[in-house]
Amino acid sequence: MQNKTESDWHFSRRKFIKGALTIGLMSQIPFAVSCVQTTELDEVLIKIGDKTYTIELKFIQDVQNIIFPEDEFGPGASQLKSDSYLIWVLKDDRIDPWDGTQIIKGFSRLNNRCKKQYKKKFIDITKAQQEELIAQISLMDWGQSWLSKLLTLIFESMFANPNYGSNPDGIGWKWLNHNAGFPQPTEQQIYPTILNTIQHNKKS
Amino acid sequence: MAKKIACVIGSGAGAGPIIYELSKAGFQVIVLEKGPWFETKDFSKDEIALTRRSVVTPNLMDEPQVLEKKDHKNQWVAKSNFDTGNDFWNGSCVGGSSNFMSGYFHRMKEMDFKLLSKYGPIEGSNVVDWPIDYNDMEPYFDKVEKIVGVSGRLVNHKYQEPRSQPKFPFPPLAENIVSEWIDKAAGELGYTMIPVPRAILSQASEKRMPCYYSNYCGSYGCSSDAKGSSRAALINIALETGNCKVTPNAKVFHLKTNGKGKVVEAHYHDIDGGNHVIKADIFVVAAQAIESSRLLLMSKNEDFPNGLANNNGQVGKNLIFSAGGIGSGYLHYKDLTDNDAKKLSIPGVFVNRGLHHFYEIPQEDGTMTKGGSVDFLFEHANPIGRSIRRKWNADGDLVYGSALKKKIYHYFNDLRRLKFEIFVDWQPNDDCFVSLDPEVKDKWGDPVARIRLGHHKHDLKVGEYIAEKCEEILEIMGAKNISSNINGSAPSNLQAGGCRFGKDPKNSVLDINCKAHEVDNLYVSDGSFMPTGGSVTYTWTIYANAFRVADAIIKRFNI
Ligand SMILES: Cc1cc2nc3c(=O)[nH]c(=O)nc-3n(C[C@H](O)[C@H](O)[C@H](O)COP(=O)(O)OP(=O)(O)OC[C@H]3O[C@@H](n4cnc5c(N)ncnc54)[C@H](O)[C@@H]3O)c2cc1C
Ligand code: SF4
Repeated sequence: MQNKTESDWHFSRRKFIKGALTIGLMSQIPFAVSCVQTTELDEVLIKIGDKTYTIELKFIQDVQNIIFPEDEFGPGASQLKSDSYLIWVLKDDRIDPWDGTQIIKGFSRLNNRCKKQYKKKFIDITKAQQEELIAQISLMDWGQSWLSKLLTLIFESMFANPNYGSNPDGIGWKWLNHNAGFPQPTEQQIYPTILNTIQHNKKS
Repeated sequence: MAKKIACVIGSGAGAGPIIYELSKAGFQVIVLEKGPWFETKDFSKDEIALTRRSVVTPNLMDEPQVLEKKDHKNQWVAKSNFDTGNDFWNGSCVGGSSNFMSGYFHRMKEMDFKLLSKYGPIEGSNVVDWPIDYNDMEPYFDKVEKIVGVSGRLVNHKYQEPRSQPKFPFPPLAENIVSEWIDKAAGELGYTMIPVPRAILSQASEKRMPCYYSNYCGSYGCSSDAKGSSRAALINIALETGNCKVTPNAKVFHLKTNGKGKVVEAHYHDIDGGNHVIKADIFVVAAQAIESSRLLLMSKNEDFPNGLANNNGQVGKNLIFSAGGIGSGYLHYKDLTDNDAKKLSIPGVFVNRGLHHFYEIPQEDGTMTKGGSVDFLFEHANPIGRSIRRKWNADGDLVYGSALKKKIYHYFNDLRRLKFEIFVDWQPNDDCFVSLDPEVKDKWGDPVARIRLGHHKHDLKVGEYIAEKCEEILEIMGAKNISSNINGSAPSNLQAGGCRFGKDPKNSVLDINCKAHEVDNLYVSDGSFMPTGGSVTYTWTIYANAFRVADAIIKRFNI
C-alpha cells in the first residue's frame, strides 16, 4: 500500500518550503488567473485577480537554466521545455491564486535584489553574477522556498507526458532510464481536460 | 411484491459488496456517489493527474476538511487542510479509494477481535472486544478471496489465520529477486516471511484481465481490472443484473427521517448545484469513515437533534487509523553481481513480503502485548515524487544545479530503495474523533468534517520495537542508509471507526449487523463499524464485513 504518511505525492500549500503546488479544480474561484503571451513570447503577462504581472520569458529561462542546467549529466530546463510548462501552470485557472502569486513575487524579489546589487535587471547581468545571486537567495528562507517550488515544477515538466507540452520525445524519461508506465494519457486524459471529459461523459 | 429499494451512499470498498449482493438478490439498488465515474479506459499512468493535482479527489478549495493536531505547547490547533495541504480525501469517484489502493491484503486474526479480554485494558484507550469473532468473519474473508479476487501463497507460520480453504483462488504474483533475499535474511534471524496476499488477479477471471505489472499501482487506476476495486470487481457485475443504477456526482448531504425512527429520503446535491431527493426502503451509508460520520452528524432533526443515530453522542467517536510508520534502506547495484543488479532493477514485479512474527510481543512479566505486522515493498515508481525528495541534503539545505542533477541520476540508476511499512493497532481514544466544523463550509455551504487526530503513546512503543527488528533484516541484506520513522501521524488512507458496532447502544452506534441502534433501516457498511482495526491494512476486513452486512439485509428484507 502507499502509506501516505510519507507523502511523496501529498503536498502542502502554505508549507511552501518543501511543498509543491497544490492545484485543483475550483469552480467558483473569485480571481481569474490568466496568462497572455506576446507573439514573440518575450514577455509573459499574468493576471491574478485585479493585478497583472509581467515577466520576461528570458528571466524565467535564465533562472531555470541555473537551477537545472544542461550539463554532462543530462538535459536541462531548456531542453525539457520547463519554461512553457511553468507558464502553463500559471495559466491554469484552477491554481490557487496564492500559489501563483508566490511564484511571480519570487521573480520580482530576485530582480529587486539584482537591481540593488548590480544596478541592472537579472537578465542583463553576467551568467556568473546570476549564479552568485541565486546562490545568495538559496540560503534565505524565501529564496529557498521559491527555488524549491521552481524545481518541483521543473521535475513535473521533466516527467510529464509530452502531451503536457514539455519532456519532448520523453527526453526526461530517457535521461534517467525511467520506465514511464503504460498506458500513457491521451490528450483527452491529461489534466485538466480529463475533468471535463469524465464529468460530461458520465453525468448519470 | 414490489422490489425493495436500497439507497447506497458511496461506492467504494464498503459499498461494493452491498451493491453486488443486493442487486443479485433482486433489490432495486440506487447508488449515490459523490464523485465522477471513471471507467477502466479512462485510467492512465499520468503522475500529474493522479498524484499532483486534484483529479480523483476533491479540490481542497472546494471541499476542505479541518484537522486538529497538538502544537508544541500541547494545545489543540485546528487548521483547514486547504491551508496545510494535509489531504484526507482518498478517491472520490465510482469505486472510491479502492480504485487507487495497492491491494496489500491481510485478514484480521483471531486475537484482533478480542483485544480487551486477551491483553487487558490500556489506560487512556477505549479498547473493546468486537461483538463477533473470527469464525463469524471467516466465510466472508473467504468470499472476498473469490469474488474480489485475492492472489497469494500460504506458508506455515505461527500466526496463520484459520482458513476454510487450503489455498488462495489465484496463484501469487511474480516477484523480484529481492524477495528471496528478504526471506534469507529474515530466516537468519529466525523469522518466517509471508508472501503477501494481494487483491490483484494473477490470472484472468471473467471479464477482468490479469495484472500486467504496470509498475504504477498504488494511487493509480488499473487498466486491466486486475486490481480488486469495488468498481471493477463488484459494481460492474451489479450493473449487469439490471437492478442497479449508479448516479455519479451526487453528494448526499441529508438523510431525512419520518419521526418514527426510519430514514425515508436521501437528499443530494448534483454537479450543477441542483438538489434532489431519493426515497428508499433501506439506506446504507459507506462514504468512508470520516465522511460517513459527517453525513450522520449533518442529518439533524427533531428526533435526532445531535445528528442521525447520535442520541447517545457516539457518532464520530473512536475514529481510528492504522498506526505504525515506515523505514527503508538502499540496495546499491555496485555491491551486487551484474546479474543480481540487473534482476533487482527489473520494474513492475512485486516484493510481496510480510512479517507477522511480531503480531504479539512478549513482555518482561511473561505476558504478551499486541504487536503488529510489516509489509516490505519497493518505493513507488513516481519519478516526480522521487526527484522532489532529492532536493534537500542531509542538513535540510536546498540542492540545485548540476549537483542536484548528479544526485538524481545516481538515485535513479545506481540503487533501489527497499521500504517497510509497519501496521499496529491505533488505540481508540477520546482525542480521535470527527465533528462538524462550526465555521468552515464546503462549496455547497455544508459544514465540513473537523477531525481531531490524537494518538496513544502505546502505539509508538509497539511500532518502534518492530522497526528495530526490520532494520536488522535490511542490515543483513547489505542495505545502506537504513532508517525508520515511527510517529503518531494518522495515515489518511487507512481510516475506520467513528460509528463503531457493539451490543450496547451507550457506547456504540451500530448493532452487530451494522444497523444503527436508533434507526430501523439505516446501515453503515464501510470501515466506520470497526472498534479496533487489527494490526493490518483494513480493506479486506471492510470488504468482508460489507458482504456480511449484505447477507443480514437480504435475510431481513428478502422479498
Ligand atoms: C493510495 C492508496 C493506497 C491504498 N492501499 C491499500 C492497501 O494496500 N491495502 C489496503 O487494505 N487498503 C489500502 N488503501 C485503503 C483502501 O482504499 C480503503 O480502505 C477502502 O477503499 C475504504 O473503503 P470505503 O468504502 O470506506 O471508502 P472509499 O473506497 O473511499 O469509498 C467512499 C466513497 O464514498 C464517496 N462519498 C463520500 N462522501 C459522500 C457523500 N456525502 N455522498 C455520496 N458519496 C460520498 C466517496 O466519493 C468515495 O467514492 C489504500 C488507499 C489509497 C488511497
Ligand atoms: S496492472 Fe497490476 S500493477 Fe498495474 S495497476 Fe493493475 S494491479 Fe496494479
